[in-house]
Amino acid sequence: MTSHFHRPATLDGAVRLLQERAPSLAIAGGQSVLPDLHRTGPAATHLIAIDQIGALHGIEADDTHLHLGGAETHHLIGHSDLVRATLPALAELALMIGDPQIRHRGTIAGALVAKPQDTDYVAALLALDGHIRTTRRSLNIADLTNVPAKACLLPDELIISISVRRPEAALYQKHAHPAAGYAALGLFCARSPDQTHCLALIAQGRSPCRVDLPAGQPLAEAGPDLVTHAGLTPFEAALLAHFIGHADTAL
Amino acid sequence: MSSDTASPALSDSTETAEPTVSFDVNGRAVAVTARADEALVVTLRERLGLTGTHVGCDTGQCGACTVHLNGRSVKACTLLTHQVDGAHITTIEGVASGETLHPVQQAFQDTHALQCGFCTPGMVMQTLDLLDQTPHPSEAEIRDALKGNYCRCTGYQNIVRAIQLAASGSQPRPPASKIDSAIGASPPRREDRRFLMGRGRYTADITLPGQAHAVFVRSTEAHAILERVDTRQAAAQTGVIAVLTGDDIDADEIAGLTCSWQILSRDGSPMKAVRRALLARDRVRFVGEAVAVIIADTRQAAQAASKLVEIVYCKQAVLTDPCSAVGGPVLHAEAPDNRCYSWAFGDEATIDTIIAGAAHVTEVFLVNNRVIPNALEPRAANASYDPGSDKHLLYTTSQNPHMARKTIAETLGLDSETNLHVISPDVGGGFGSKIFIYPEECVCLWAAKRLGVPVKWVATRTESFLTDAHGRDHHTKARLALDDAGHFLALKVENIANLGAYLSSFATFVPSFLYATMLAGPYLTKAVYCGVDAVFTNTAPVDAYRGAGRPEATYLIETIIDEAARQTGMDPVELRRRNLIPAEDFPYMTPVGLQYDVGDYGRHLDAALLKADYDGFERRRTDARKRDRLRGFGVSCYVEACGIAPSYLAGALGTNVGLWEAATLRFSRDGHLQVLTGSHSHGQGHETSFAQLAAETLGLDIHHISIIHGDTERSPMGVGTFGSRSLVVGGSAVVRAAEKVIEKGRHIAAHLLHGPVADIDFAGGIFTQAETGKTLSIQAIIQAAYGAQNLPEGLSPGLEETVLYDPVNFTFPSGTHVCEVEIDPATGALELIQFVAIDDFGRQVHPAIVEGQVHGGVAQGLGQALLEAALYDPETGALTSASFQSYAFPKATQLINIDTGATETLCPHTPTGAKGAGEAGAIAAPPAIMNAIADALGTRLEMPATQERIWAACQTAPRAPS
Ligand SMILES: Cc1cc2nc3c(=O)[nH]c(=O)nc-3n(C[C@H](O)[C@H](O)[C@H](O)COP(=O)(O)OP(=O)(O)OC[C@H]3O[C@@H](n4cnc5c(N)ncnc54)[C@H](O)[C@@H]3O)c2cc1C
Ligand code: FES
Ligand code: FES
Repeated sequence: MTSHFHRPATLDGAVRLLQERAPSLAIAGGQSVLPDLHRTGPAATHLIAIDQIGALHGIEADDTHLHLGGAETHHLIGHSDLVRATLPALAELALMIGDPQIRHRGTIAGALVAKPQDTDYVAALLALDGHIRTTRRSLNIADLTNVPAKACLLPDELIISISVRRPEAALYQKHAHPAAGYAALGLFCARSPDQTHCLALIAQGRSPCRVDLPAGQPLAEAGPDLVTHAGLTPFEAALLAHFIGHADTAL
Repeated sequence: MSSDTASPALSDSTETAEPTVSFDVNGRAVAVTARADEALVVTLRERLGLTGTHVGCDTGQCGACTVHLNGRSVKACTLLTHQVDGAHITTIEGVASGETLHPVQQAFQDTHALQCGFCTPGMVMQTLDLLDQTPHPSEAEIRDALKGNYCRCTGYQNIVRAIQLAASGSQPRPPASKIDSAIGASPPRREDRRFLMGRGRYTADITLPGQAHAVFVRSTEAHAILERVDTRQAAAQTGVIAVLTGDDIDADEIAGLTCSWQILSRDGSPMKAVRRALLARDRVRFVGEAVAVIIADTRQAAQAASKLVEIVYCKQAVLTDPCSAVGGPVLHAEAPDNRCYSWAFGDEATIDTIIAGAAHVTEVFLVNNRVIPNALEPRAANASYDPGSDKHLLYTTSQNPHMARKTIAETLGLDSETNLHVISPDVGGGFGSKIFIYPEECVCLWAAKRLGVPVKWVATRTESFLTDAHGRDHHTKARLALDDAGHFLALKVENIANLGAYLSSFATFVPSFLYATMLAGPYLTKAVYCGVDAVFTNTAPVDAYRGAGRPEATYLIETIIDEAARQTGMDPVELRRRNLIPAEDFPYMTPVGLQYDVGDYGRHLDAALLKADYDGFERRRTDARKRDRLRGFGVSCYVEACGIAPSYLAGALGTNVGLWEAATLRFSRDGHLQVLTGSHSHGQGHETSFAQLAAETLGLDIHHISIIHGDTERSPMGVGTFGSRSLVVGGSAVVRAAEKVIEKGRHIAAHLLHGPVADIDFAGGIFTQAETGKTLSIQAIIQAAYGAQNLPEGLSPGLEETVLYDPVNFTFPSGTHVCEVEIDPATGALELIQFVAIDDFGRQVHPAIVEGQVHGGVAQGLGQALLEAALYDPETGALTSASFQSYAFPKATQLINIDTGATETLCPHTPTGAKGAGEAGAIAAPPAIMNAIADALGTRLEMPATQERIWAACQTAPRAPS
């Protein structure tokens, strides 16, 4: 039974609590932790709130990359002038998540940890060589999606920030599950300044995958590989073809 | 960053289980203790008494709990109370300024954007956030912003309208000095204010002194023998008062629940009336069946202990497919072939002869998919017992507290039903699912007496999915015989109806009499035969869901007609027209035992086609084809029998319960009228429409009338709300009681004016002596009646009349709904282009309420047709769609505005000429849209027509002929 709540003021304080109190669980926006709690009961004795720790906030861009604090909410990412200017597709993606209330609370790190295969962000991170800086190391997005995130991150490890490459142009398209609203299928297409393309696909319940295309190659060439890697059904393959066709005109 | 780093709750040393949290709610500073894992919604509701914030799910999806955190909308169920330390919280209770509604609240009222009110606080909070961030949203933006706010009643249409109105900044309707409450006007609903201000009082909002909480331990197996139920560890937990099982129920000799409608099989044998134990004994038969109950001091303690009850199952083979029921694993020893009954209506041999000789025969196989009602308020009960008076009190989410009183008193073996007082306070939608008597409320009552504590149970959404009675689940083969001119000669229907694991209260009646008697539809079909095998399976019980039997019949008829049109090359509209019962043929006796009293079916068909520009459809279809899109147009005509039911008929059809409705009109000495009714309102707005009826009949100002319902002690008699019966049966009782009041008033007036009673006329609240023109107001008569100093000899003082109104027939609303869709064959994506509903509900007392019923009904119909499916795993019997994450509850983004209209033929036997209006949308909409899809694709799909199914059909289907 959960019996202790902590709200450390600093990242160090949070890590210390995670190390010293067991079983413990970090909670940011609570959009995954709370539903789990309602349905399956408490998973930890110590809840460590990290949503207001300054070190986990902030959105910055340099010439090549965009950096997002782990505790930034979908809402803020979606409405950030900086994100909208440097990577509008990511802002659009953030605003396709859940609903307004969930976006006001849910954070990017929380989404990556709770739904490492299904969150829309994974498509963007995969296409844009996302890096995840934690309190212990720097991880590649593939590290997180290949094994369950909970197994990948150590119990006291927190995601500080996420960095992605700035493409020349990008587009995210999503086919939402009619009940849950999650991406049943999501495709992130990015064009780099050298005119190469990356297409990253998420498909509910399957491993995300990415295909790179050299400059000048039509996007449709990526279709068959994505279908095979993700193990798409014919219906999903048709949706994918539709997405790729649209990206071809839009990008 | 946080401004609250100074607060002690922020420091790393917060260690106590229930430390204090300080924040600001609606401008008021509060400091509360809260458990570390307590959600804000619990603190608001249970510790701060702010019950306007509701709980509708356990997955963070429904939005009923929406509040503002520092000015932004959040779901209070996914927020820890400790996380809001130092923050500003606004709840629905803080939105109005004093007693003046906020313009958004006012817009909701002005547009009739709420029915049961359960979603309303969350909707208002979300709207405020939207308009703060986007002051002038487009319709698409509005719908998108409501994605996380579910409403089961309104179809979102008027909510969208309310938000548009609020955004337009137009001044809200000024409070009229006198509200036009005439029949046919749509005065503002009188219940709206309390819902809009968070002052509704739902069962879950009620906490009794010394409150204990119940949590049920439910079977995780679909079919198993219970080898052992070990409660010892659970019982030993702190806070646990008792853990009770089926053995305890048995020890108290409580027999369990059964179905009150007796059906005879075709061989004359009675149906297999299996009983449902309140807590399972020996065997469990569906996932979710209650096996034990934990009663504890707190819900948390009960929940924790519930995990410690050890159940040892011996698994049995599972049966989920009703079509394999006969010969499948046996659920009940009493029904060795799993059939509850095998029932038939009509003369099979005659029908077979007609079919054999017909020029054309169309055959269809249809599944009417199982759906889950999902009223937004989960079922709940709060039971207590007073040993001093030997009286039980039950607060419950029932649509029909009086029926609940009768059935539960019988089930628990009380001396009399008067030993049980049932109160259904505000109820957040029902749609049928809250008619029935379930084990939980009985168990709470029983445990409350046994343990001497009030026992409260509130279902989680998961429990709602698993245990609320589901709807539909018919598997039907049908043949329609036509002559060479396209006239319907005969319809033969063979139906398998899935009743689930046990008989819910009305279950046996739905696929038999409520279904077969509607199979003539609005057509001249000469002969009908219907055979029904109603079977048990290891699934949740199935019972009446909005429409019950009539949607299944209409779906069948309207499908088979379209198929016949396609096969014979006739226009589906023309084929219908040729067979519709002409207006001059009423009253019309159908071959299935109903006498339709009045109607003009051609008129609403014409009106719907005109409104939808049917003539221009082929042009639109051609245009669409140029864009590589497939357009389809679908029509559905219906008639339904509602206003259930003439008691003599109900008796003939298998029940011993009279289906009248009661009304008492009681004037107070100061001239205020209380109308006590047995009809319960859970979104339908009776507090307004019933008051209109009394106001109009008695010439009173609606302000001087209050409607009292939902309480078996205040209104001593009643039946309840189902089968679109409230206004036409319950409302008629009000009118008849008002007429009795007038009659007594005439006697008093005649006496006071010294003339014969026959000379006294009454109109507009005034008694007039015809000859002299002398008048007395109804207020003067009330004074005289209670003053009692000068009354006619033998007349008792006071002015109070009661009527039990028994209708002479059903009412038969009818209508035509049409739908136009466009499909992208590349992806299967479906766009709803338009939906037109023209209905004949007779005279509409409150047209805005009626329109709201159509919106909501159509939304549920579209949900069934496009999105919703209750799916059981055939191997394990698990309900795989047991949450909003897997069951596609229609959201604002998935529906469109529908275009409504009315034609009117007056019901000859209701005092107002009104017909029932609650179920039409759910009845008519599914075939309209499925026919449109079939028209677009040139092939027919099963419901729900998901995008994947549509896409698959596009890959193989012949394109619709050009
Ligand atoms: C109804 C609904 C619809 C949704 N729809 C979508 C959707 O369409 N697309 C989508 O992508 N997501 C969707 N989500 C998921 C949502 O995005 C996540 O729940 C949310 O982002 C989680 O973030 P949080 O801050 O609330 O995490 P929490 O619930 O607080 O935490 C989740 C997990 O992450 C861990 N965690 C949080 N922050 C950190 C950190 N900085 N470092 C390490 N671990 C951390 C926690 O310990 C916990 O294990 C939906 C959720 C709901 C409830
Ligand atoms: S979203 Fe909070 S109760 Fe449903
Ligand atoms: S009014 Fe929205 S759920 Fe009833």
